[in-house]
Amino acid sequence: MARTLIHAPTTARKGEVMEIRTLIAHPMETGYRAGSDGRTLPRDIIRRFACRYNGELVFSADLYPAISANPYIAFNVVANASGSFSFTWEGDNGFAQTENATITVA
Amino acid sequence: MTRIAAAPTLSRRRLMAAGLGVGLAVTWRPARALSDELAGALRGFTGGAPTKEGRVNFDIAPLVENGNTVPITLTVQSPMSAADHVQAVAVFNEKNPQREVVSCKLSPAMGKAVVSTRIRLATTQQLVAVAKMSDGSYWTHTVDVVVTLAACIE
Amino acid sequence: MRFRFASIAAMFGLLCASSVFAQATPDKRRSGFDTMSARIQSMQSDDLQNPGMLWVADGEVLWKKIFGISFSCAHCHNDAKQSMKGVAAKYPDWDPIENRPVDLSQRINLCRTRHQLVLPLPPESVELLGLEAYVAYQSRGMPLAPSSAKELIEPRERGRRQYEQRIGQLNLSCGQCHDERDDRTGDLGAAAVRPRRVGGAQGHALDPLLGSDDEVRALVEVGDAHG
Repeated sequence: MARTLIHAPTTARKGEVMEIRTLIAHPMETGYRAGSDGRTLPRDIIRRFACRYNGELVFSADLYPAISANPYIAFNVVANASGSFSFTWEGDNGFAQTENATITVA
Repeated sequence: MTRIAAAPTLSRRRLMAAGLGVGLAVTWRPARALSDELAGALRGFTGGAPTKEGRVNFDIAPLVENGNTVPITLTVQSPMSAADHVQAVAVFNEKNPQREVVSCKLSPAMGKAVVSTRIRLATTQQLVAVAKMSDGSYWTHTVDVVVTLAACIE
Repeated sequence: MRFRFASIAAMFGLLCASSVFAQATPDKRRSGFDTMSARIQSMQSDDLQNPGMLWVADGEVLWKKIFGISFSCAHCHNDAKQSMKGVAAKYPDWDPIENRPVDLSQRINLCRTRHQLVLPLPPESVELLGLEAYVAYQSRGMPLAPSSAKELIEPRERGRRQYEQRIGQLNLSCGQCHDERDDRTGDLGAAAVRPRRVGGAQGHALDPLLGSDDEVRALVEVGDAHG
């Protein structure tokens, strides 16, 4: 389980545009770098990030080795109903992680 | 090593720049024509459809001290309504080991088409951000970035 | 993590307390933070964007973790926000039992072997970096407050000599790059090519390139822990 830091508001007014900011610990090894023995280190990156709001896919991103280590992704979501966010990260070597956050919309 | 742009485009832009020059920052440089690699990557995203410069703002520092972690923000002018919104936005590079940087799928539920992340840049190069609108049009913003410390290959 | 440097009052107090400092000079110490571009500064200041905060979050969990059949850091030190405040700012410190200077990560491992009776964490491991980041985080924004233990005078001198010693094919000392900004002209990089004074090693006042005695002391702390 990689460490994550997520900033998602817990309360919002209906129709308010919220900013969601996510950070996850991951080396994002590009597959182009050589290790200390001279051999290329194999690629190990997060390939996909998705945000679902009450089950509906709101935003997704396909990541490539050009994304920095410990990927930081920030985007917006309109608050329309109380419920929950689910953030998923998937990547090489079977990497899969999901984090949830609740939201109360007035 | 620098790619030489198509001359007519460059001088026309230089003329515009001179005309607008008074109010502009000293460091403003006209964008070069897209290199072949970048144009090819862009074609892969658009499927050959025509692209126009505008509506997308690719916010990135023109001088990057450390290519390992370069903050970028992509902003697209759009009401993000069901009828008129941004469907996807992507970034391509010129000189990294591979062209793709990130490709995002957006939806009207976002309210604002603003995406931020951090990317790696291997060397001084050109980058292009492209947005696909719900009406099928494609909009781009091309930037030149100078990179002091290389990433990706070290 | 960066430690923002002292107010003049705090520096003055430190100067008075220690016989090593020759005079009360205004604090010219500067954090490396000040030489970063605005964008990188904002990235570091933003807790959501600074990847270091991931390790701080790790450390917060490890602080309460019971390793093996022992007990956690929290068992003795309780809430780190109170007990660890200001602690990181005084490391490297002198350890009388080891009879050498130790830095923060070494001190954490000594706590593990001496008091928690568990194996030390491997150097630069995720766990050790996490604990170190978490402890250092409790001193966030506080000035460096080097320990005034008299036993540290000699290791500091050794550190200073290593720092000023030109080595390698390029014949560069640490100071030539890391004291990069010329205090007089603000010129970045000029320092790297300015030659040192000939015969500089014989009981000299510091080369102006390296700034005041206090600046070098603050900067050579890194040399202490290696003995």
